Amino acid sequence: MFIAEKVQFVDTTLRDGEQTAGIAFSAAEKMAIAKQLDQSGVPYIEAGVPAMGGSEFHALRNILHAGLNAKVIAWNRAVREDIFKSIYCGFSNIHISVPISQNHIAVKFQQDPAWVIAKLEECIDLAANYGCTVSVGAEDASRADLEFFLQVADVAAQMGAVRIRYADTVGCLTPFQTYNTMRCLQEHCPLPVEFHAHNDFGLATANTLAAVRAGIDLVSVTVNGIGERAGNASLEEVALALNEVYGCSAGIDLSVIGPLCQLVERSSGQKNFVYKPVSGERMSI
Amino acid sequence: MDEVVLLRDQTLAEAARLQVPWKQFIKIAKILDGIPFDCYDIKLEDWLNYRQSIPFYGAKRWRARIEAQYGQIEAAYQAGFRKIAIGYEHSPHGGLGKKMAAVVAFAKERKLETSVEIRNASRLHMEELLAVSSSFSAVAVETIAYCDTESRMDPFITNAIFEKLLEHTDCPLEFHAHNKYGLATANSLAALQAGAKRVTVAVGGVGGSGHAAYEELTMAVNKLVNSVFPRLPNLAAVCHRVLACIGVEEPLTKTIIGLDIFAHESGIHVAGVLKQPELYEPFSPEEVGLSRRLVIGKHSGKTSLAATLQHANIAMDESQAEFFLAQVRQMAIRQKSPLTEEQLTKLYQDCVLRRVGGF
Repeated sequence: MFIAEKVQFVDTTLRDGEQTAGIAFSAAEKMAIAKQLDQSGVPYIEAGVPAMGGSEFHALRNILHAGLNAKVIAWNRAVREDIFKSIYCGFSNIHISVPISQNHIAVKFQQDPAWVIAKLEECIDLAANYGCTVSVGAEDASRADLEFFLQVADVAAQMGAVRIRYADTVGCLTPFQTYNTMRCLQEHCPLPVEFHAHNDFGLATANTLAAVRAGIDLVSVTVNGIGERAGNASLEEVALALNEVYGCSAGIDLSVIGPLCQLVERSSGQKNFVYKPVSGERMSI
Repeated sequence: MDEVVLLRDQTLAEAARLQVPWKQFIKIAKILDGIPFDCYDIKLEDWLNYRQSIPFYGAKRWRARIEAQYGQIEAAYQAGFRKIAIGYEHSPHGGLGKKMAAVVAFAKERKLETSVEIRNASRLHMEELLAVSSSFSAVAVETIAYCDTESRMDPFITNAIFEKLLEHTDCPLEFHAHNKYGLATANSLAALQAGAKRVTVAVGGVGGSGHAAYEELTMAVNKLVNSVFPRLPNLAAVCHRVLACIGVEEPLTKTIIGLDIFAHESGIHVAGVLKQPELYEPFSPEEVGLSRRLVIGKHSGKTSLAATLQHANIAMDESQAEFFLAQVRQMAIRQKSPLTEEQLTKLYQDCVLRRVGGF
């Protein structure tokens, strides 16, 4: 086992979580959730997409001025206009996401891997010129060539990015596959890796733990596991599982998890399944 | 994983524990009968608090979970159970003890198919586990269940333990996972991958401490590890009915069976799914008897708007797309729910067509 002593959560409740079909947080709700995440000890908050403009842009700007301890991150496509919007909004922590599986690149953009690298270089360069700290997201990494992931990581590292997100975009990894891949990345990846799980088969928490077991100390989570389709790795499950099963800290104040889950339930309008681990009514710890 | 895997149901147990209305219980039992479960566990104490005797059709496949007491064996028999699972807490210092062997013998004399459950299995060292399994094999129990009662396991621990246990134990082994931290499905998958042939599941993973969700394990086995569980074509509908009878509301985003797990809203996802659904779906909705839909909400992109308007025979004016998108977003945030097709077309008519003098 290569378990890190301390794991750091990159919370994406306000971005990937809000992408759940039908969820729309108001600006006030986004602020309340961001503040409570901050109070619970979450070190990274991926707060949203400034490129959406309008009320989202203003909501994010307010969060940036709320004096949070956490690093607040803007999510962007590898599109210059997205990056400009984020910088104009006031962000200095920029996440740039690129699809890295052959299929995603070919079908969504009718392009090739070289084009992705070029777009990434262009956008990291732009963000870096404005003094931003850049993290890169590799979408659909679990169905992409590991070699290409490492190539993208190399480019990102050379251009000064601080970490790279490995996204299991359709939640199709098993814990053993996650462990083996993350072990390999620990050996060969020039950047720290953040593991981003999805819960299509109910394996998001387990896959996240498998990544930690392989030595990864940055993981994406959302409160109540909200997110696209069947959701993301649930913050409260991962925090408790790390603590109880691995004796590993995520730096989260476990006593405030209950109120945090309830806040997101109310704001999202989506009540947890009563049998949902940790935050379901019948399973509450 | 070529030998058939036998699933032990815990859904009925939860229904009994909750004392659901009898009519609903019968419905659940009927539906579960159509699912390829090998046996149905019910805690005897819960059952006797609920009813006095089991229906005739239960005798064949219902299994009473009991304590190691002669009185409980007798009570299970009187209630009509012909299969029992005796709970056992291993004490680190002793062997099986004469009492356990005697209890098993008594049960077998009554012609009860007798299994044992090591309730504190996840607290035992490998040597203790091997010794206990060996002792139980010697008294010829039907199966030995390894219970992760306190949810202490992860898939790696589960896999390693089962590999070793299966190698050294003649008696069939079962894995009974609990789901306090969301690891039950993964742990059960790991046990299967180690070669276990009997695992405990519940529809929706229901249970006081949660269980591996039947629907999750089925799809994970079929789609992720190159093996096959028999599958129902209408898996989602079957699970919905069971959960409804238990009296629980299933979230729209429930894994595998939630009505909204194929509802796509975000612009990037919708654009992708319209080109090729596999971009953002690990299995098709048809595989579980669900269907895909596009949702108009805060994160919709112009593609969704155009597609939905097209469905209402309106061609979206591209020059107004940005403006219209902003209106849609504001409405979604205000009402905190998706826009229906009617709402979208009305909004378009009100905001855009009037604006450009389209009326």
